[in-house]
Amino acid sequence: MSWMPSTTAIMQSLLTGTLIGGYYGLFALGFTLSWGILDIINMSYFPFAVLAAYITYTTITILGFDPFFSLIFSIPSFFIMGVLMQIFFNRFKIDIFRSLIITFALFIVVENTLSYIWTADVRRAPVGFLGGSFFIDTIYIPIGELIAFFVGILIVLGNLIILRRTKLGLALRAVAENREASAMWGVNYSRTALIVGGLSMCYVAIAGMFIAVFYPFTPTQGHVFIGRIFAVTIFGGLGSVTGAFIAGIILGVAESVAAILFSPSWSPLVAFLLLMVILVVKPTGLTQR
Amino acid sequence: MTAARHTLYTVLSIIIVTLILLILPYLGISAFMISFLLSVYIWVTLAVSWNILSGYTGYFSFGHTAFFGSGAFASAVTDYYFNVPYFMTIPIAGAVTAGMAAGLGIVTFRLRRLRGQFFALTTVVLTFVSSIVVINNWGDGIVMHSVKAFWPFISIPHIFYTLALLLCVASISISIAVYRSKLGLNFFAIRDDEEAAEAIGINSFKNKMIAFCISSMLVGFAGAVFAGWVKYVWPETVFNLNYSLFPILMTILGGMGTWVGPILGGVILTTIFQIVAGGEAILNNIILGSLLVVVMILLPQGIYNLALTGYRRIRPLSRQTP
Amino acid sequence: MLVQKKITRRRAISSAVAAGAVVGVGILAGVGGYFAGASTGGRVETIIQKETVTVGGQTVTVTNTVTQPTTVTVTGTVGPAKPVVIGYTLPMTGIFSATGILHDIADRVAIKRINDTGGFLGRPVERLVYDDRSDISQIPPLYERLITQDKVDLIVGPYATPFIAAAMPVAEKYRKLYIFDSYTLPKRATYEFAFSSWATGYNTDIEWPTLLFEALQNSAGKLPKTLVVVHSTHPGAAFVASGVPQVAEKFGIEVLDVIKYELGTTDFLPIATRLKELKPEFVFQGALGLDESNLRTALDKAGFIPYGHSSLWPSVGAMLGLGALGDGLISQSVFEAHIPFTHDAEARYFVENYQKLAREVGLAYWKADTQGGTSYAMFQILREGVRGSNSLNDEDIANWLKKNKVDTIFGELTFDGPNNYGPMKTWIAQIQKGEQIIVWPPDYAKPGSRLQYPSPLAKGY
Repeated sequence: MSWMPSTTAIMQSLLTGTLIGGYYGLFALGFTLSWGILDIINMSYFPFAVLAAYITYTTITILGFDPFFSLIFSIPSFFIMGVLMQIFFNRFKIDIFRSLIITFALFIVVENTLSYIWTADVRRAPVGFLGGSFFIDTIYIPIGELIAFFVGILIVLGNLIILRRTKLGLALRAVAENREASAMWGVNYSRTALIVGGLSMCYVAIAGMFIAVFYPFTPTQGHVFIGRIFAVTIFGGLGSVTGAFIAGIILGVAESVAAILFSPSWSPLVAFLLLMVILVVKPTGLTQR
Repeated sequence: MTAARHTLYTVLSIIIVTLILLILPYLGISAFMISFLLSVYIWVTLAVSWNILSGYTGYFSFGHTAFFGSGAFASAVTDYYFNVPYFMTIPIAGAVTAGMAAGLGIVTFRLRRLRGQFFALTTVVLTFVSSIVVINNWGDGIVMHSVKAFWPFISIPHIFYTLALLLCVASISISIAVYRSKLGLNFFAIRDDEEAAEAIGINSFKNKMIAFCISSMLVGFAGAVFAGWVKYVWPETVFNLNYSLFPILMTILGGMGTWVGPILGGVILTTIFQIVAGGEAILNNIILGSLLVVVMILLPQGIYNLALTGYRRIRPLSRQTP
Repeated sequence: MLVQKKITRRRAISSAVAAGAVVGVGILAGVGGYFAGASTGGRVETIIQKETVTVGGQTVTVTNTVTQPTTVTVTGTVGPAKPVVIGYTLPMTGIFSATGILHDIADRVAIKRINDTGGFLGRPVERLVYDDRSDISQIPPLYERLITQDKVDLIVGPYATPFIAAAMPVAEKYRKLYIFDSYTLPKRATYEFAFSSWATGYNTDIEWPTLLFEALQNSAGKLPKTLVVVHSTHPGAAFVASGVPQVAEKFGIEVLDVIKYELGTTDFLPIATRLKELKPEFVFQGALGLDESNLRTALDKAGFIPYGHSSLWPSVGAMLGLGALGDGLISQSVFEAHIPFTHDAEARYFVENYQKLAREVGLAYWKADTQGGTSYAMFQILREGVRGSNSLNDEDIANWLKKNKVDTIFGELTFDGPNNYGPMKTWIAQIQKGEQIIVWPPDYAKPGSRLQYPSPLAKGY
């Protein structure tokens, strides 16, 4: 590439990379909570996110409402589904290894059910202003991505408040630290787990809504995210919502800047190598726990 | 009985089974069965090799795809661009993947804190990195030179059938050998409590390196055999995440940490996937998924351990941690 | 040292159980494989009923097909003979299923048509379709199964370039006729009985870009001065994209940059930012599936939309879903449901039945176009080959095809060139007012249409 990007282009890449990275982080929030606190690697979150996308799509095309409206349907139902899944995991004492295979089986069931109901065809909903941008001089700020970013920040802040200020938060930290010991101190793991399970699914619902806003999608859309979400989760520190979000941003920025400096076909490699380097320096991930 | 006698019986059984399977093509089984069994052998090899690393040492690896794809391309590239005879490309592929593992291991196994997570992540990263390097250089795919059929093989697929079979048997033999040796004990010690293991003098770095290199070398061989069999090698298809995911599932289903588990899981899942191909695909997948869930609930330690427990009625013999 | 010298009875027993388990499972595999091979697969049997329906102001005799899994009652045009079975795989699940389903629908219509018109040599025709799960390692065993276990009479290719390539050696081994629809690497189709229903042209990397620039010159009346090539790592896309720089040079167009991105990318904002810097007049995107609509949305967000934006094999449903933003997107097409294609009675038949079935199944994008068309044509070619050579023998049919013309829904195809490719019959299509139409060359364009360039949506220069 003989062409060198201007400073504007680089600044732009930093900006869009941050926003997109924030979305990756948002997507990973439920996943990291589940893995870090509940010891469940929940692969089924990916097709569930696509389910939330279909709900959003239906809300937009059939009901004619704003995509955010779909959250009224998806958040309560996903919370319940999350709780039910966790009841199931608690009841059968699923450990982390079995969780992988069981949730993968669920992945197959959910994805194929989506195919069955909506066919494998591509769907794309019109999203109006969410597909546009603000312009500051020649720098553009995509609106949909910006909103997703702020939602992510809200969740992270909310999470921090819960963790530091409430009893539930205390229970969560205790459980993540040492499940047996926390039980001795009176933390009801089962009940805490249900709340976490439900909450994680809510985050998945939100991330899924944005899938319908950003992309045309099919039932198998979840596959695209698997690698990055795994990386972001581990990199951010299992169970750490803040860590996952920041990890997502770093990944997004690295990919974006690498795409503009080198070539888009090499950018994921650069981004992941960067992750590796940072991890060598700090192997516990960004935030402990 | 003595250890020597036990080993003798094991070796004999393996040889007998191998011979039977080797003869099958001569007995006139259908070309489809040859093809199907070939895929069984490859999946079992992947599962067994994954188990040697992750089942025995407890270090979860998501990197099988990286090694499989790299092995396949190492074979394809040396075959196509350097005109290396196909059979020579197989050890080259294994050397390449073992080298990748060694390089990765040197970086990741040294660090002290929270190694398991870190290692898992590096294997994920490796998958991306290797696939991107390959896509950018050989994104068009490579068509390998055709292998000629020669005596004693009756057809070209027969050659690959035999290669895959031998590779599978070799992997299983290595797996059993490690399981029963001091090396295996070291691995299990690392899995159970790495710090304690180091405290009693086990060099965890060396042992992990051995496990990782053996595991990835076998996967490299498998990739090379696969490449020769399909002849058209494309990044998108050999760097498929299934090659990382399925061996994990197969091993957990069959029973992690024993040498039998991955074999059982590999055979069962490959067979089921083949049966499921016909008929109403979507419904079949839903049924398959649901069945898997049920099976995993009923059999917490995998199928093999159920068999053992059923037989023995006291807790499983294998050195499993729950 | 912890080495055990004496093997206890416990260990011996557990080893025996282990061995027994392995043997037992091995037998299970063998039996399972046997039964798998003997299963009926996705056999689609048809009951044929005829009725007269008024469609679009015309009274047409429509043949309804009711699919049932077990019994077959053949009435009317074909006798009670043993059916001819055509075997192949499709991605009914997995990442390619979005297009696999379009092919499946087109194929059902094609089979119905064959059976309406006398079947093959008086015998009814059936499909035997396996799901390859979008997993290429399934292709060789499934095709082996079809040919050697199910003993199908004829095979056709699966969907998508790598899969078609994977099945070609199997077809070659058994000397089976191998007609396929979605192959993008003409130079690799070296098997002598391989035929493509999609006339990409042997030198598609030169011919199609040439056609595109001719269209710009003659239909739109204007050529861009600068151009950027953006392409994915998909081999077929990369192949066509590779021809663009030299063709552009002949037309006096300056190629500012060639940007390559990984297949499967969903985030196109970095590329959009880059394009915004370069400000080319035309963006030639070598891509397929969702990439075009994703790039288009990203460009819109970036505030730069080029005067012209072309692609290769986009998912039309995704593009139409963009609404007004999708207008002006150029792509390849071999078939669209408008005049002059619909002058052909069979093309009308295809369009009506495909769209009816697509709507029944619940597809979001139910219009009949290139994807379905190439699959339908694949069966047309097979049909004409069988009837023309009056044989079900693979070699006879192949030899007949090489020497004859086949009338398909996209016009006459011939297979007399290198690798059995005839002249290119892939045209320039554009989305105008929410509809995908062919705009060039004039013989195949929708009457009265022109290639719209520059686009009124252009901004950011």
